[in-house]
Amino acid sequence: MTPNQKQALLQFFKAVGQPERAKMLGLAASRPHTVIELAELLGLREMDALNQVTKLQKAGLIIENRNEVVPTYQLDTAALAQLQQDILETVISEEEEV
Amino acid sequence: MAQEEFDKLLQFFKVLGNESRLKILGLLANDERSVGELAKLLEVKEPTVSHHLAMMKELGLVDVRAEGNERIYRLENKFLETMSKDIFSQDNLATLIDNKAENAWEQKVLQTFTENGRITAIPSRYKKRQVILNWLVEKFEQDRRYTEAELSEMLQKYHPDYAALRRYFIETGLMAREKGIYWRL
Repeated sequence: MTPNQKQALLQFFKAVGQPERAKMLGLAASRPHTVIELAELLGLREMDALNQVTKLQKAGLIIENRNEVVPTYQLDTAALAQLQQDILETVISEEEEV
Repeated sequence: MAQEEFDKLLQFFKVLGNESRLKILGLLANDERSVGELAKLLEVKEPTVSHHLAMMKELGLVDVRAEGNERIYRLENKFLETMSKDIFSQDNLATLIDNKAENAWEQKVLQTFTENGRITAIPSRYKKRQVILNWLVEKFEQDRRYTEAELSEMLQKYHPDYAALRRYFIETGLMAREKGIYWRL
């Protein structure tokens, strides 16, 4: 695993190791949501919801659709697939680490 | 997803959302290691490594056996493989949330904008309006053709601004129109 892959995995786990963000990722995986919807569904203030969304976005897990009237957020399935591959590589990796 | 499952998954994320533990995972992926070896490789004290390993063991990520005075840890390959397959799929992530939460929101929107089966106000926010429109379109039969007059008359029972509702139906693709005839899509 390259340092970049490792960093991406770490980012992922850190990002979703918090209940609200985990739920948010779940919502984003089901369909695109606006920040207002996320806030309402999770019982958060809009500003807080936006902060959490931003964290998930920075972790590369969520992509923003700017083409809509109001931006919506959805799961970055390509990034997720990459993470899956990375972690599987970790498990079966033969190389010596450190 | 049940609360218990959710908590377990969250715990899994928390345990792996730590650089040292992720490194341990990487090291154990190659070979089984004693606590002492791991401490040396990670350049941290043994108790620290033991603490991390305890967390990982509780989740069933690693397994341990005694060899003389040493405790040898190894990765539970199967578990991690299953977990990675389960976690990193879109469908499974979607189960992180209870679908009820979604329905609850829609219910709330319906409660706010309808009363006695009528629309009290057409929501200006797109997503909320969509909930109302989805609810409203269900009042119409699936395979029936409605004339504009019929449609308007029915819509008027729900809200005075039937023209707006009619337009929204077409705009959002809930209904189609041709030569003054409307039908559900």
